[in-house]
Amino acid sequence: MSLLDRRDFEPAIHISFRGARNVPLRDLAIRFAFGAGISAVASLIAALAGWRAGGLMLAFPAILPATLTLLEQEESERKAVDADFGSVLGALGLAAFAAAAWWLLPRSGATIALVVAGVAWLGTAGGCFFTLRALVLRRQR
Amino acid sequence: MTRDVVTTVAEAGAGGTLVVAFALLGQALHPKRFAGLFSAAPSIAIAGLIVTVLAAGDGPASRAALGMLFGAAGFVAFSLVVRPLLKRMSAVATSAFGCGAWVLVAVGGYLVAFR
Repeated sequence: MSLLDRRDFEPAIHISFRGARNVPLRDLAIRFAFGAGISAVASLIAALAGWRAGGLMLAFPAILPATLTLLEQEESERKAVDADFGSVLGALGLAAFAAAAWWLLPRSGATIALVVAGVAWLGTAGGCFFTLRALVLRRQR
Repeated sequence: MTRDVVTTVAEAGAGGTLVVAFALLGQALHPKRFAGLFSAAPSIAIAGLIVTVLAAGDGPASRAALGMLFGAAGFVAFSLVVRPLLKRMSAVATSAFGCGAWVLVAVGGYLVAFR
């Protein structure tokens, strides 16, 4: 499976809530429990070892393992690999989020810092994706 | 002590809720390559930083965000390790290896930087 195959970037991006509506309650409960568990661990580490150490867990892959497992079981290994590809770009966005939050929180306050950090995540992750997409589609025309 | 318990419970509740929200968004988006971006959404981070700001202020939250930088590097390592392994083993086993990579890079990098 080539990482930069045109066929992987050709499908138009769209949103369909039908898939989201059909997610079993059990899967949602597992995701909630995992997310809550990671957050609780982050809080406990912060209480024991300081805020900076607790911050490590704020970028723990909470969503991805369940996503990969569910995609592999319900769709295909290929779709799991595709989701993982996207997560690399999302993780780069996480670094941008963290850098923006770290810099702006003491200077601009929480609201501005978190909004800008969120935009930084979306801009970095989305920007990387669409840039790669444009390059691949142009190169393989 | 009570404040720590309340903070932990609040962070857990908020983190779990945001993880579900972003996971549902990822489920609704297509193709999966684009939806994968949301598998690395800052769901835990947003919950954690908001609760930290409310509980302790902007300074501690900023320090948490600094630690998060190392976690993000670990997340990149997780995703890179997982990709070739998905062809060879189950997603569960692959994720376990990925978590090992996260620990190595995130915790290892943190200890190198701050010890």
